Parts: sequence; structure tokens; C-alpha cells
Amino acid sequence: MAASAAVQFVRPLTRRMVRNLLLPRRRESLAKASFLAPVVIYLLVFFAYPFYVNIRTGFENYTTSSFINGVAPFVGLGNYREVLAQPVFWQAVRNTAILTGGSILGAFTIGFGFALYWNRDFQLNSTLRALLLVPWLLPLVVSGTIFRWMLAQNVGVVNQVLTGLHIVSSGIPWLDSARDALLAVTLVNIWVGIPFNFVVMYGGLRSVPQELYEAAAIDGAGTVRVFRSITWPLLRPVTLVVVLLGLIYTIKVFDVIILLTGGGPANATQTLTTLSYTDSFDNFNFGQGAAISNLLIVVALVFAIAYLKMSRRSLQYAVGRA
Amino acid sequence: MRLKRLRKRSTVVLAVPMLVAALTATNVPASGAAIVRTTSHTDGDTQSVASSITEVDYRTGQGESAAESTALNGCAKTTGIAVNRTAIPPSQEIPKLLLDESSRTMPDLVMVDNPNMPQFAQAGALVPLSTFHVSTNGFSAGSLSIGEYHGTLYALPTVLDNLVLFYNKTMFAAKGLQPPTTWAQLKSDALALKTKTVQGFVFGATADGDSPWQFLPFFWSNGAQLNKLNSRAAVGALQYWVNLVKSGASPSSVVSDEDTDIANLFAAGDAAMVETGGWNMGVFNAAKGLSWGDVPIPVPKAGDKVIVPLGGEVWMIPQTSPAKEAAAAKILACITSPGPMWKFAINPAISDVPARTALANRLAKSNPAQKAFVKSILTAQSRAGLVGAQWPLIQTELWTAIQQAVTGSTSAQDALNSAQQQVSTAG
Repeated sequence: MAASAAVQFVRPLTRRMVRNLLLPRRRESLAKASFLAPVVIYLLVFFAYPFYVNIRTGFENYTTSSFINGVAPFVGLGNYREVLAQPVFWQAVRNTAILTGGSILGAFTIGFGFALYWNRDFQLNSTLRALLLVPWLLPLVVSGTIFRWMLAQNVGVVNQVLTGLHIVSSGIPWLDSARDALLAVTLVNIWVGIPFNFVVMYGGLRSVPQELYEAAAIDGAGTVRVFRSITWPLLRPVTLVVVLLGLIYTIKVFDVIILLTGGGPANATQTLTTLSYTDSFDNFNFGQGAAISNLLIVVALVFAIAYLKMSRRSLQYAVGRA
Repeated sequence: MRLKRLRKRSTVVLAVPMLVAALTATNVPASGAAIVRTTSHTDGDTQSVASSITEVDYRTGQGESAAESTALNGCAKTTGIAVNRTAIPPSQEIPKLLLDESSRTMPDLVMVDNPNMPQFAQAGALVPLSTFHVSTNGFSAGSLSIGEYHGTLYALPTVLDNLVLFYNKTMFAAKGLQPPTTWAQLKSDALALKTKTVQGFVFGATADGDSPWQFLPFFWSNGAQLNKLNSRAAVGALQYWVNLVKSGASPSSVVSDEDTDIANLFAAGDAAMVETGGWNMGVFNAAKGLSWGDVPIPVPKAGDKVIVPLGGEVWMIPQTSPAKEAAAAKILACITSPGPMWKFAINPAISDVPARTALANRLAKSNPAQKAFVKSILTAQSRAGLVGAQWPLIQTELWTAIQQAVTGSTSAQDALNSAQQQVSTAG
């Protein structure tokens, strides 16, 4: 009965919609809509729906049986409560913060340093610049696996060199000690992140008007003064964008950690992403896994919104300047 | 739909003994497909059998993949049922199967690592093997135990593997040592054989399922059980591993040494002793200048029984359609029959112990290197046997505890206490 009432309500509506579509003005909006449709459908299917499912799963006791009989009891905030009560969760939060902070600091400093250096003219400039991009071009599975070999405690080339040069007396347990593993993972992640920072900062440097430097040279400003008064202030919008994008990329880094340590030893390199993976695909507790990744999404979303605001402002800044 | 079907099946399965007793095998009720299948015990091949099935396994390595294809193709010829095989990397197999389940596109015959089977049995996704003509006569008790869930047989292995101690004969001869049989000997031998470049004894304590698998021979042989991770025997076993690393008998790199790393170290002569399985014999045989032997894993004290985990893949038949299930059962019966089983087990890329006792004994006689494996199999236990579907969680907690203790972050007692606590709160 309710259904027939709904039909009676909907039928005139749809009739009106069809009629409206045939009007010339409506036809124009139909054309607009058809241009928009692909992207809207794409976003709905590949972003909105998975996002919705992930949020929903976070509230369910979703286990292997759920796949088979389709039953996943609603547990409210149960998953979140359990996740937050685990000591390993807070360890993962700490590790994620250290890894993200360390990676961005390292990758930005080195990347920016390289950008400053390459901003000058010297021979083989473009060749070397292309070579710098290699870490970016290699699949992470390849570079991660190679780093695992290089950092191996007994047979790895890094320790062979360090002991051979008598810098350390015995090999450093890069991936084997709960103390050093996070450092090793961060270092590899910095290596991966340098090209991105380099490319964007280099582009930023190139866009600084040359006449400002000429004017500064006439005024007799030194290198430090030029950097502090011209380069750095003009690059600030680009810097903010680079750092924010770096944050979003690094906070969800997964492949590097899984390949190097698998989150070990003893959870020393467990981050929110690896913990979510372990919960879902090792423990088959998909509800908790989803809860962790939902928390991660919230954090990433904060940075993403900040990035959007920032990039709009820097765009206005650029337009205003021109 | 699905739920209804599940419920129906469970009542039918319960009714099987009554049906078999009551029916004179002439009057087959046409109402339920499941009933038709159960009566096939007495009725012969009246049911319809599909002409092709899909199959999924995780033998993706070059040699082992070829071996599996050969076995399945052979049985396809014998039975006249075409087998469409798909090999998926081990780490991706279970997620893929779960997705298949949710979209109702499960393959007809599936090979999984044996501790994963209870997950599917518990959820009611499998057909009990008693439904079909699959004979279990001649299978070793251990091999049947890894196919059982709550007393019902859902899966069968073709071959079994486990862990032994491989030792470098040249190094032992140089020091005039005999391969160790007790924990004390293992440690003192490792210390005696260790040099600047050669490790004494290497095992695996990585952050994945490998470390519980490698740890259980020590855990179980010391008298511990998986339903109490922080018992005195359990702590004692973990403390022994900690002592091995602390004393230098084993390198601290054990927390990142995967099975391939362990095999490579031993093959290159960089380790005097390693804990690994028969699948690496091919690597060791191919290593130039390596003279190796293998013995069962040493036990706490002389006279103790070594208990290793039963490794090996089991074949299970998911609920699909009666015709497909029947066809899958025929292939399963064929690959587990003596001839194909023997051929598969002795394939150099497999080198495992056949699940049939007679064949296992034949293997031990024909290949001395397999003696230690066959001997260990006699007392081996199933990992999920006692704990069933809880195994995945126990395994994660166990490897976390192992890593915490071996790296010295916490004591063995504290690590296992918190592991047990996590399992208890989740259970």
C-alpha cells in the first residue's frame, strides 16, 4: 500500500521531469549534466561507494563468515573502543607521527637543497637532474626489496661498507632491532620522497622573477640576505603545498614498511596502515581494520582540506602578483 | 537464498546416517539435491557430474607450479573432467577467496594452507568429504587431523611438510662434532661453530606466520599448548630462543630472516645450522661444495619427544552446485590416490612427505634425507587443531610476543602474558 502511494507520488513527478527535459532551456542543462555525468559517476562508483562501505564496515563485526553468509552484526562504536584500548594502536600512532615528521623534514630539506644547487647553471645539469628522479620512477616494490638486501645486518652492503671503513665496529642491526628499525624505514622513505620535493621546489625556484635577484645584486645583498628576503618568502606558498602533499602521501605509506620490516620487529615500525592491514588480512577482523583506516582517513582529510585552502590562497597570490 | 541452502544442508548432513539405514537405495527422493548426493554412497554414479571445474591453489613458484599442473592434468585425463587451474601468490589467496565467497563465485576445488581451512569450515562454506566417494584409508592420522574441523573431515592433503634441522657436514667434521639432539647441544654446537662470518644456528622470527611456524617445535616439545600462551613451558621455550640470540649462538637478524634468507645463508656456507623444511633441499643440492645432513629438531632434554607443526596444503570443496561438487570430489580422490600422490611427492620441486603412511615409509627408505621428516611427521600436530578458527589471531599475537622477546624489548614472560591477554579478550 505504501508502495502504491509512492508510485502515485512519483509518477507525475517523472512525467514533469521528462517534459521539462524537452524544453529548450532544459535541453541546455541536460547537455551540461551529460558533460558532468562521467565524472560524477566515476566519483560515486570509485570514491563515494568504497568510502561508504569502509565507514559502514567500521561499525560492524565483519569477519570471514560475513563474506560467506553476508551477516555482519552492527556493533556501534565497539570496534573503535577495542582499537583505542590496544597499546599497539597508540604505538602505531606514535610511529606514524615520527615516520611522517621525519620523512617530510628529511625529504624536504634534502630536496630543497638539491633544488637550490640545480638552480645554478653547470655542465650535465639536466642529465643529473633526470637521474635524481630515479627513486620516483622505480616501483616501490623494487626499491623496497633492494633496500632490504642492502640493509641486511650480516650480508648487507651498507654494513659491509660501514665496517670496512671502520666507521662502526660491528654491523648495525638496521631492520633487526626495535630501536633502529623505525630510523631505517624513515631513511628509506626520505630517499623515496626526495625527487618529489626536488621537482616541485625546483619549479618554484624557476618561477621567481630574475629581475628581483638583479635588483638585489645592485643593492649589494649577499647570498644569505637574498635567500631570506627573496627566495624563501616567494617560495612559501609552494613550500606549504609540498609539505602538505608530503604529509598526505607519507601518512598512508604502506609498501615501504611491509617490504622492509612487515611492521616489526616487535611492532617497532607498525603504523596505522600496516596495523589496519594486519587486523583485516592476518586476523580477519575486517571491522577493526576498517575502524583504524577510518581514523586515518579523518587525519588525512584534515590535511587535505588544509591543502585545498592553501592551494587556493597561493593561486590567488600568484594571480595577484601577475 | 544462500542461508536457506546452508540450513538445508546441515539438516541433511545430520540425517545422513538415518537415510542410509532407511533407504534401500532404489527409491531416491528427487526433492533435494543434497539427498541425491548422500545416497550416492550406496547408489554408485547416478548423480550428474560436471565436465569441467575451476581450481585455485598458491603454488606460484616455477617448479612447484609445473608439478601441480602435471598432477592436475594427469587427473583430468583419468577422470575426463577438465580442470581450469589458477595459481595465486600465497599472501593474496585468502583475501581473493573471501571476495569470491561474497560474490558467490568460489572455485570448485581449492588448495589452502592447512591452518586456514577452519575459517571456511566454521562459516559453513565447505562440503564435508563424507558426502563423496573420497577414501581416507591409508592416510596417516596427522594428515587427517589437518583436514578436520570439529570432528568433520572437510579437506585432505596430498603431501605434508614440517621442519628439521639442516647442518653443514663439513663444519661439523672439522670440529669433530655430532649433530645436536638436545637444546643444550644445539646451543653449544652453534657457539662452537660460529665464526666472524659464519652464523651458528639460524631460525626465523619474522613479523609474519613464519615465526610461529618455526617456534612451535620448541613450544610444543617443551610441553606448551596453544590454548595457554603464557604457561611455564611456553615461557621456557621462548626464553630458550632469547638465550640463543643473547649468547650469540643465533644472530639478531633472525627477526628479519625469511625462509629464503635462511636457505640462502645455509647454501652459501654462511650458517652452520638452520631450521627449515624439505622444499629447500633442491637449493641445498644445487649449492656447490655444500655437504649437508638433516636431523629432527633438538628437544629440551634427551628422551623428550619432538613435536613439530604439520605443514602442508589441504584440498577442500566449497559449496557450489551438486554437479560441480561431485566433479571436484572426483579430482580430489584422484590426486590423493597412491599413484599420483607418490609422483607428486617425489617431484624435486616438491620433495614433501606423502600423506599416506605406506608411501611415507617407502620415501624414508628410498631417500635418507627424508628420514628426519618422516620421523617427525609421526608425532607432528596441527596448528589449528586445538584452537580452530582462533588460529589467525593466536598466530599474530604469538609472532608479536616472539619479536618483543627476541629483540629484548620485553621479557619472554611479559610478552607472552600480553599475547594471552589479547587472545582472551578477543575470544
